[in-house]
Amino acid sequence: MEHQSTNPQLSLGLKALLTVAGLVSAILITCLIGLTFREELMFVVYGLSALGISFFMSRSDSQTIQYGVTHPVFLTALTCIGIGFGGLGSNITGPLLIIIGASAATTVLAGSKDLRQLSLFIVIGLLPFTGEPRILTSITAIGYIIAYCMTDAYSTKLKALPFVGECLSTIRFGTLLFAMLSTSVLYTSTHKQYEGTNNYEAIGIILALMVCALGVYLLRQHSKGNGQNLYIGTVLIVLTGIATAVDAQIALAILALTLSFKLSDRRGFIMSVVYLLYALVSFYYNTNMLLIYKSVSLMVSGTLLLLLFYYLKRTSR
Amino acid sequence: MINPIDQNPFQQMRDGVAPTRESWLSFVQSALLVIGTGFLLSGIVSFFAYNWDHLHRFTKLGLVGMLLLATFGAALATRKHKLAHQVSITSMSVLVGVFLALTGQIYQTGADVYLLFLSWSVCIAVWVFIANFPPLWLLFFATTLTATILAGIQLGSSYTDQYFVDALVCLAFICAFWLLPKALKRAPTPKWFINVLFIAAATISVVFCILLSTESKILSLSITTLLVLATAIVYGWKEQNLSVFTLGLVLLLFLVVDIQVTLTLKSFQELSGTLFIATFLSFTGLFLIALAVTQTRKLFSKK
Repeated sequence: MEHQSTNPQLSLGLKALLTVAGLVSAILITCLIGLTFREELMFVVYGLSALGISFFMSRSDSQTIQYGVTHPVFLTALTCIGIGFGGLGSNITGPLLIIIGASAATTVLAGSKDLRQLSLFIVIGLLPFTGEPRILTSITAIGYIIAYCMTDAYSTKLKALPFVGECLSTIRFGTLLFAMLSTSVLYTSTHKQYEGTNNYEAIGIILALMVCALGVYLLRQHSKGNGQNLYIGTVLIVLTGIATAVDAQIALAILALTLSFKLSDRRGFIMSVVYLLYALVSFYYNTNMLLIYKSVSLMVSGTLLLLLFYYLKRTSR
Repeated sequence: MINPIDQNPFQQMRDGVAPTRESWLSFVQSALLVIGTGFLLSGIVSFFAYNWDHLHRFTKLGLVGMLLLATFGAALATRKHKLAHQVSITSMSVLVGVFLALTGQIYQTGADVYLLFLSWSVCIAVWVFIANFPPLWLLFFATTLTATILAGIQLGSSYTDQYFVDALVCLAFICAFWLLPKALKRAPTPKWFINVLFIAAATISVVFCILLSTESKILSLSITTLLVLATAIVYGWKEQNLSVFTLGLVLLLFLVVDIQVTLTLKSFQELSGTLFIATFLSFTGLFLIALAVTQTRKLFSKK
C-alpha cells in the first residue's frame, strides 16, 4: 500500500509528470501560434499575456488550478517569450537572460508556492547556458555542488529564512541535477574534441579533492580513534580521490552519492546512483582502449573492491 | 554484534535522520559489494565478447563453467548474509547468459537471437524464484521481454500483433507481482518495482502508438492501449498507488489525442486545425487529470 502523508502537497513524481505534460501542451500551443501568425512579435505579446494570466491564476492556492492550468500557461509563456525575442534578435544570450529574468520575477512575486519553486528551478537550470559556455559551465558544476553542500552545513539557518526555507528541497534537487547536467555537457563537448578539455580535467581534479576532503572529514567524525584504521582509511580515501580524478563525471557521482547519503536526501541519492551508472558506462565506452584491456581493468578493479568488502566485513564485526 | 552488512543502510534515509557510524559502515560495504560485483561481471562479459583467439574454445567454456561453480559456492557460503547471497545468485544468473552466448559464438548454431534470451529466461527462472531479489526479477523481466520483442521481429509477425504480445507480457508480470503475493500470503512486492513494470508497459504503448498510428490500425492499437491503461487505473485505485493511477490517466489522455490526430490529420493544410483541437484536448485533459488526482488523493487519505 502506498504511504499517504498528511502533507497537502502533491508528490514530486506527480509534479514532474504534470509539468512534462504541461510542457507538451506548451510546445503544441507554440506550434499553433507559429503556424497561425508567423510573426515574432505575436510570440512576445502572447508570452507576456500568458505570463500575466499565470500570475493572476497563481493567486489561488488550489492545486487543481495550479497544475491543471497555471503550469502549462507559465511554461508556454516562457517558451513564447524565448522564441519571440530570439526571432527579433540574433544572439541566444539575450532571450535566455529575459527568460531567466521572467522566471526570477515569478520566483519572487508569484502567489503560489509551487509556481515559485518551478520558476526557481528554471532559473537554476538556465543559468549555466548564458555567457561564455565552457568557463561558465565549469564554474556552474563546481558552484552547484558547493551549494548542495551548503544546504547541509547551514540547513538550520537556511530553513529559518522566509523564502529559502520553503525552497530548500527544490534548491537541493536543482543544484544537484544541474551540476550533473553541466558536467555531462562539458564531458560531451570534450569527448567530441571541442574546446574545453582543460576545463574538464580541472573540474575532475577539484571534485576529486572535494571527495578526499569529505572522506577525511567523515572518517574523523565517525572513527573510534583507532590509529591503524584511521591510517588505512585515509590511504583508501586518497586512492579513491586519485582514481576519481581521471573523470569528473565519476568524481561528481561519488561525491553526490556520499553527500546525499549524509543529508538523508532520498531523491538526491537515487539521482546519484543513476548518474554513477551513466558515468561509469560512458567512461568505459568512450575510453580509447581495446576491449580486452577494458575487461581486464574492470575485472581487476572489481576483484579489488570485493576484497576490500571482505576485509571490511571481517574487521567491522 | 550484528554485522553492518545485515542492516538496512537506507532506513535512516527513510526516517530522515543523520546516518550513524553503523549506517556508514553498512552503506560502504553494500556499495563495495554491488559496485565490485558489477565491475567483475562487466569485465567477464567484455572478456568473452572480445572473443580472444589465443584461448581454445574448451578453455573459454571451462572458464565460464568454473566461474558458475564459484558463484554457486559463494551463494551457498553466504546464505546467512542476505544481500551477499542474493548478489551471488544474480551473478550466477548473468553468467548463464554469458555461457549461452559463448556457446552460440563458438558453435555458430544458427539459432535466432530470441532463442538465446528465451533459453536464458528459462534457465534462470528457478534461481529467480529462490533469490526473490527485485534486481534479479528485473533481469528476468528484461530477458523475457527482449525475447518476446525479438521473436516478434524475427518470426515476421505484424506490428500490431507484436504490440499486443509485448503488452500482454508486461501485464502478465504486473498481475503476477500484484496478485500472487496476496494469494500466497507473502510480503507485497516493492512499490518501485511495480512502478518500473508499469513504466515499461506505458513506454511500449506510447512508442507503438506514435510509430504505427494510421486509420486502419488505430482500432487494434487502441484496444491494446486501453488494456494497459485500464490495468494501471484499476491497480492504482485498488492499491492506492497514486503514481500508477496518474500514469493510467495520462495514458488515456495520450490515447485520446493520438486517435484525434490520426483521424483528423490527412494533409499538411489541416495541421493548424488538428493542432488547435489537440491543444484544447490536452489542456482540458490535464485539468481533468489534476482534478481527478487531487480528489483521489483526498479519498485515499481518508481511507
